Formats: sequence, structure tokens, C-alpha cells
Amino acid sequence: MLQLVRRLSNKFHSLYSRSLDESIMENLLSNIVDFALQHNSTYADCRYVKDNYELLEAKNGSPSRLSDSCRSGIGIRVLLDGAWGFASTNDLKRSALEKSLKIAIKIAKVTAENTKTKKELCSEKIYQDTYHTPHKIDPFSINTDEKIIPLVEGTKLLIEQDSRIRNASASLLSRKYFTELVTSEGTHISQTLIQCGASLTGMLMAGPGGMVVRTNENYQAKGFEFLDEFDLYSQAVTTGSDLKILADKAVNAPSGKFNLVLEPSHLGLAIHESVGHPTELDRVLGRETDFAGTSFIQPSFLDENFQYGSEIVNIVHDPTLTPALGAYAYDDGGTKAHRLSVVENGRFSAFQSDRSTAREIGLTSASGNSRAHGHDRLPIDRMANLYFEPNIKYALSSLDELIEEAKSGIYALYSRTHSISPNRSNFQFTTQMGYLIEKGELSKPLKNVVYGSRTLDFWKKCLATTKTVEIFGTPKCGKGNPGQTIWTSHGGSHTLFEDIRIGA
Amino acid sequence: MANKLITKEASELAREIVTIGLAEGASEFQVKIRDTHANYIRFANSEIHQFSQDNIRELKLVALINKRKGLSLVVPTTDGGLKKSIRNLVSATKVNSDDPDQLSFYPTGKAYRELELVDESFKSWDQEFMAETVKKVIHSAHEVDSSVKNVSGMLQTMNHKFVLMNSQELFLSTNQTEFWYGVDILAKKGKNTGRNSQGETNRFAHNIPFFDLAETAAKFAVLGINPVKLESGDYTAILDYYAVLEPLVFINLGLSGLFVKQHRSFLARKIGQKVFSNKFNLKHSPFLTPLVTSKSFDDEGVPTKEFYFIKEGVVESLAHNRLTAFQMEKEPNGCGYESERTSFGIPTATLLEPSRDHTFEDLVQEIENGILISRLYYSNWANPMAGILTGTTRNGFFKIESGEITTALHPMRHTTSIFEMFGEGLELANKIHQPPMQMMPGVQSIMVPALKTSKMHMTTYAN
Repeated sequence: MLQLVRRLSNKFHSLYSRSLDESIMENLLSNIVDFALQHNSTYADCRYVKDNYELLEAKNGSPSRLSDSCRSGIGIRVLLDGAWGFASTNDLKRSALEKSLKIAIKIAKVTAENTKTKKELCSEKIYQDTYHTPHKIDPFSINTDEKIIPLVEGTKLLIEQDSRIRNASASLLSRKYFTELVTSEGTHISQTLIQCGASLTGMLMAGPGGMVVRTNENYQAKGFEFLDEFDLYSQAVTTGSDLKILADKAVNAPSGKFNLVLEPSHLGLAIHESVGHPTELDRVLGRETDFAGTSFIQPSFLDENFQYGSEIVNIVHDPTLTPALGAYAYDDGGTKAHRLSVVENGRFSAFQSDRSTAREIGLTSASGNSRAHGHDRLPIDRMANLYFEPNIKYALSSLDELIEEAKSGIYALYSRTHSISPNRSNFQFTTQMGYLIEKGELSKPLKNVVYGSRTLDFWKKCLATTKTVEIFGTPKCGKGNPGQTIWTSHGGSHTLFEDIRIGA
Repeated sequence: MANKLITKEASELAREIVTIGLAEGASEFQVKIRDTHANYIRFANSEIHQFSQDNIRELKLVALINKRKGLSLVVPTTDGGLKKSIRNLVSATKVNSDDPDQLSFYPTGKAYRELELVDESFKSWDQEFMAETVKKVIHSAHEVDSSVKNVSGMLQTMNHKFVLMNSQELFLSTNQTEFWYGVDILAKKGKNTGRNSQGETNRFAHNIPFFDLAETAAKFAVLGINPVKLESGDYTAILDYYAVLEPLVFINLGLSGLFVKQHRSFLARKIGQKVFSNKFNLKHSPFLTPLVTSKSFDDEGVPTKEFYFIKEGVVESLAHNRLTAFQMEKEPNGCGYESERTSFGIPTATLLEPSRDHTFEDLVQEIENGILISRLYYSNWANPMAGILTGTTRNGFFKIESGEITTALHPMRHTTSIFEMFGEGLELANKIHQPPMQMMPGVQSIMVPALKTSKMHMTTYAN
């Protein structure tokens, strides 16, 4: 039996261990790109992706789930007669890649015959570079025991906080995302993004129909050291305390117009939905009309000094910011990542674009937002690290000062659900908990906090912020058709908005 | 064992993987090999702008050791080889502590099932034919009216083949096709615009009226020009088939055995109770072959069957995978869904039963003063446990007066109790559609008729 297994194993190894060393991979990608140029492509790129993903979960003091995945493959993109063609495969044999290239070329030709608008690219420098997100400990070098014990202990501790806590679950997500991009212009970039994140959720049964839920989560471009910093044990104590407050003391949030203070992680959701998506240029150009939606922003707004918010609103996009989850050095089209002010002193100042969409509206350079969720998807315009940057000159020193400034209103914490209109002009969010603000101080705890606004009204009502910025990662941003899920991060400081509609 | 649906190479590979998994130390081992071949055309501003093809093979490996379970999803090109992945999986599975909830693989003993749901015309859907179809769609929409300016959408063709094999000698294979089509049209006169979208998915292309849907979308887009504002408040409403989809997704999630067991479902305390109108019949319909998730077995290999989740408004059954069925002392009912990130029971192929008599036009004629909602967008809970749903209208929102669709309306947000949305006063149309899924595509598919509801609570403008 053992001999049989060994024989089968060897057969397997020869069949499926097509581990390609870097030089072979580089040659393979370069050859495909050269081949594309020989077939009259004006531009071509070849992107190898290897995506290692591991999810560990514990529930009520026991390990409950362990899964991992490794997806790899190559996407080939050609620009021919002003039209894109794209094909992907995870068969890395040269013959399979050549077949995919021919399909990409055929697709580009068919598209060119049926398209009037010819695609062109903004100029971009040629780069030959290697990039790793900074990290101390590769999460894939740690054995599973060591990784799962904190989850087990964290959930055990949370359950012990109150006998009514029925469910405590924790997860640790580790990812190593490697890309190698070779373009026909001579760019050759290798990037390794190491990312880790954790979540802790507690559910407390507070009488008939009274299930209350609290989730704490964060994801960063860090190694396994992230888990220590996230500190599941402290999170378990805080979560338990919040659950008891929600069950025993919180009252339903009132309805009406109130001043509203948002904590940084929930502010991040508001930024993502109401600034991030509407300023993605492919949306503005109608390319996501059928699925993700459109945008209330027009290309002309860039020249009109368009007022997006009050003078203190500064929204910055910066993929070079580490350890924020959306960190990268180059986007999937080979554009170098850089800091970008999307809204500056309340005025709309930049789109999130790729080389093709930027060129379409007459820009001379792209913003470095071309991203794909894997080898098998075309890169599209996506946000990465987008956050509120307070103007230090006017920002308040502490949350206490901000609450005092608000005088009365509601302090809303931690995202629960969200809904936003197709062109991103109207939204309604709910948070996991809140507090009433009375006479410049926090008073009663609140549950079922729901608020909504028109996007521009909301940002124009931004009155004050604190100084300290906190950034939170989310691995759940969906867009595109077929769907693409990418990892982003958002945040800012505690922020005060005036006269916001509270209630459904 | 004879198998005509998948290649001999895939069958042999599956058998070899299971053998190695057992030899590496797993007490039970399972593999699912999935080959996907897909073409996607996206069009916008009346021309093609993205066209791509995927060819992917993925392996899902599951190991069981003394009631411990590990799951791994890999492709054959993993560095270090597949054997290393299997070894890692088996080693990691051993780390799990005993969990009495984990079950032996299904079934014990021999079983063999195969399923072929393939559109015979699939091979003719090459790149040229797809581009030509899209071109005709765009042309037919522009023919409706000169105000039609932009035609957008997506046409997708897909072929999945998979084999599932485990050490309990379960052997399943499937060969399926899938067509996904959505069209979104903008009409414009001066500064005023109107928009509408239509769409269908199906296993068989001949069931999708590509050009009729484009023409319908164009007609409603033209009708949507010059919208006026509607006062906020409660309205009798027609939800067209596309608008019925999103609330149904939330009902399906609420029917998950897992979410009910954890008291996270708005239906958790409503099992056996009448929650909707007696005209509301929601059926698990895995053998309704046009449904793109129709199947004869679920992700755990459990045979599927037809039954009612909700009959005459009463919650009769939940969707179980084997684990929640075991925990809640029910029989597994073929609703198991398992990915590398999650596993639970969910209604995977559902039909909201239509009426026998009412046409869409009949429903409109019954309304003296109400609204027509063509589609909803970004539905989500405003209060999950109370069943309060919110969302905005999308691409088609009209006033109905004296039985006729009269005036276009500006988009609005609604925040409505799902119990009232499908409560007394519900009337269903007689024609069913399978709109494209935006949430959980590939996991669930739903066939729905248009319907009349006595209450949609419209709140604020969403434009």
C-alpha cells in the first residue's frame, strides 16, 4: 500500500508541482508579451498571481474551522486596434498560455470591430522593481497550534463575561498575495503583500427577540505580529462589556434631526461608500452602470472646483501608507502608487483612475487605482487606502472636546448595515451601538441607531474633528461583473456632523 | 465506474487524490474537482468595453480525522505540488480539538449520481456570436426611440464541470451550462433622463428573450424621462420581477437553519407561524432545470428534494446542511453550501409560486393610486431582527393612477417591514422570471413573478 501511495505521489508531483522559479516565470511572461506585440498589439501585459489565503476560526472555546486556499494563474491583457482583450488560465504550461494569448487577441479584434471609442493609455514610466509590504513574521511560517490558541482562548474569555452570551466566535485571516507583472513597455514588477486580520463576535440573548450582537474586527498589511497588537483578550472584555450595556441599559435611538459624532471605523464606511465609490472614474464614465452603479460626479466637476464638503473635509487616497490593508507600491497596470487628495479643503480634487480611464477624460497621468482581485479578472478602477485627514490647525485634541462641541446629539459607533443609492447620492447606515450626547457629555447608551442623508449634504455638514487618525481594513469591497472582491482600508478621526436625520 | 460527463483524466485524478489523502493520515477524505470555462462581455455607452475569458480548474479538498475537519481549496499549480497541500491539510486538521458536531462524510456505502444540464447550442456561443448578439441588443434598444442614448449590460456564458468523490465511495459528476444577461438603458431628452434595466439568467439560452428584454428596458427608460417627486409615505405598489429578487434573497437567508439556530434570523421565533399572506408560497425547487443552481445533490453530496419553505404564508421548513439538521434533529434536505470560508444550509434554488390568473397588466389595473418599482438596489436590513428592510429604487419608478402607469418618479429610498411587504393584500402575477443575482451569485437562484404589495414605505429622495 505504501509503495502504491509513493508511486502515486511521485506521479502527482510530476504532474502538478509546476513550481516555477522566478527566472523561468519572468521569461515565460516576457515571451508571451513579445508574442502579443508580434501579433500587432500596441500594448500587452501578463500578470502572474499566486494568492495564499488561510482562515482559522474558533467558536465558544473550541477550534471550529480551518481552511486554506491557494489560487494561482496568469491573466493576459492586450490592447489591439484600440480595444482590450483579456484571457486567463491557471494552467501554466507554455501551450496553455499561448492558447490564452490567442484568445485575448481574438477578443480584442472582435471588440475593436464593434467599438467606436478607441482605448489609449496615459504615459507611465517604466519600472523594474520588487516590493514587499513590511512585516515581522510571515503568518504562513507559524504552525497552526500557535495561531489558533489565541482564538480559542479569546472566545472562551468572551463567553465567561456573561452567562447570556450564547455565541462567541473569532477568526484569523492570513494572506500572502504575490503578483508578477510584465508589460510590453518594459515594466517588470514583483510584489508580495502580506496581510493579516482578525475578528471577534459575541451574541447575547437578552430575553425574547432580544439578541444583541457586537463585532470587533480589523485587517492590516502586517504579518502574524498583527494578532498580538489586535489583542483578542482585551477585545473579549470590551465586547462582553458592550453586549451587557446593549442588553441591559441601551434604549432605542430617538428619531429626528441631531448632531452626530462618528467614531473612526464607522466614518471609514461612510468614506468608502460616499466618497470612494463615486470618485472611481470607471463608474463616472458609466462602465459600471449595469451592476455596481453610476456616480453623481461628472468629469467636468474636476475643473469646477466642485464643493464636496465643508472646508475641513480632506479625503486622501494613499496606497503607499503602511500598514494600511490596501497598501501596494504599483497598481495592476504598472502605475506607481502615490498619495492623492481626492477632496481637499472641501473641494473635489481628483478621480481614482487607471491609465485608460484617465486618458479618456484628458488627464496626463493615472492615479494608480487599477486593481484586479486575482489573475482571472481584468483590472478596474478601485480604491485602496482612503481616509479622512484632519486639518491639524483646526482639529480638536480629544473626543471629550468634540462631544462638548456637539453639545447635544448622538455618538454612533461601529458599522452594522449599510445601504446606498446607485449613483451614491443617498445613504442610510446603521451602527452597532451609540450614546446620547446631552449638555456636552455622553449619557444614555443607544441601540438601533439608524441615520441617513444625501451625500453632499452630509459632507457639507461636517463641523469638527479630532486630531488622531485611526485606519481600519476591510477585505469585503465588491465591484465589477463578474464580481471582484478587493481589500481596502479607511478611517480618520472622530468627526462631528450637524443636523443629520436619525431614524429609518 | 462508468462516467460519461467528465473526462477520464479528472475521474482518475479524483480517485488518486482520495487515495493519497487517506495514506497521509486522514480517516476520511473528499475531493471536488471543478473545471470552469466562461466568457464575459460587458457593454456600456452602447459599445463593448470589457470582454474576457476564464479557464480555471480548482480542487476543494476536505479531510476528516476523528471528528475533526479541515478544508482546503487549491489549484494544481500550487508551489511544492498538490501532495504538499494534502499533507498540510491533513496536518492542520489534526490540530482541531474534538468537535462532536462534525459528521462522517455522506453517504456510507456506494452511490453514484450524475447530472447533465447542458444547452446544446453552447458551442455556437463563441466570441463572434456573443459580440454579434450584443450588437443586435444595442441596435434593438436604439430602434425603440431616438431618445435612447446609452445601452449597458453584460452577457455571460459559462460551462461548469465537476466531479466529487470521497472515501465513502460517493461519486458525483455534473456538466452544466449557464447564461447570464442584463441590459440597462438610459434615455435622454434635453437634460432629463430615464433609465430602466431588465435581465434573465438561465441554463438554456433559448429561454432568454435577449432582444425583447432590451426593447422593454428601452420603452420604460423613455417613459422614465421627466420624473416628478413623490411625497414620502405608504403606497400600494407593484414590484416588478427584478424588484422582488432582493427581498427574496433576505427571506432565503432568514430560512437558513444556521441563522435560526443562532437566533440571528428574523424568522427565528416564527417557525410554524403564519408570517406572510396565504398567497405566499416559497418552494425549494432543485429540479426546476432553468434555475442556474438547480441540482440533484448539494455540496455535501446529499440528494436534493422539492419541498415548501413557506406554504400559504406559514414557515414550514428551514434550509439545512448536515450539521444543522443533526443539531436541530431534522433530516438533511439537500441545502448544504460549503466554501473555503463558510458552510451552512441555504435555499439554493427557489421558486416564489406565481398565481394562475393575474397578468402583470391585471395587477396594474387593480391599483387606483400607487407606484411601480422596476428594481431595488442595495437592500439591507435597517433592523435585522424586526425584519425591517431598506433599499432604494433603481432604474424605473413610476406612479400608477386609475389602473395605468402614468408618471415617472424620482428615485426614492424605502424602509419597509418585510412582513408587511408580503403580508395581506399580496397578489402575484402569473409569469415567472429568473433575474440575475447580484448577491451570492452561483450560490442561490430564484424564480419570481411580479407582485402587488399593499405597503411600501417610501421615505427620502435617492437622487
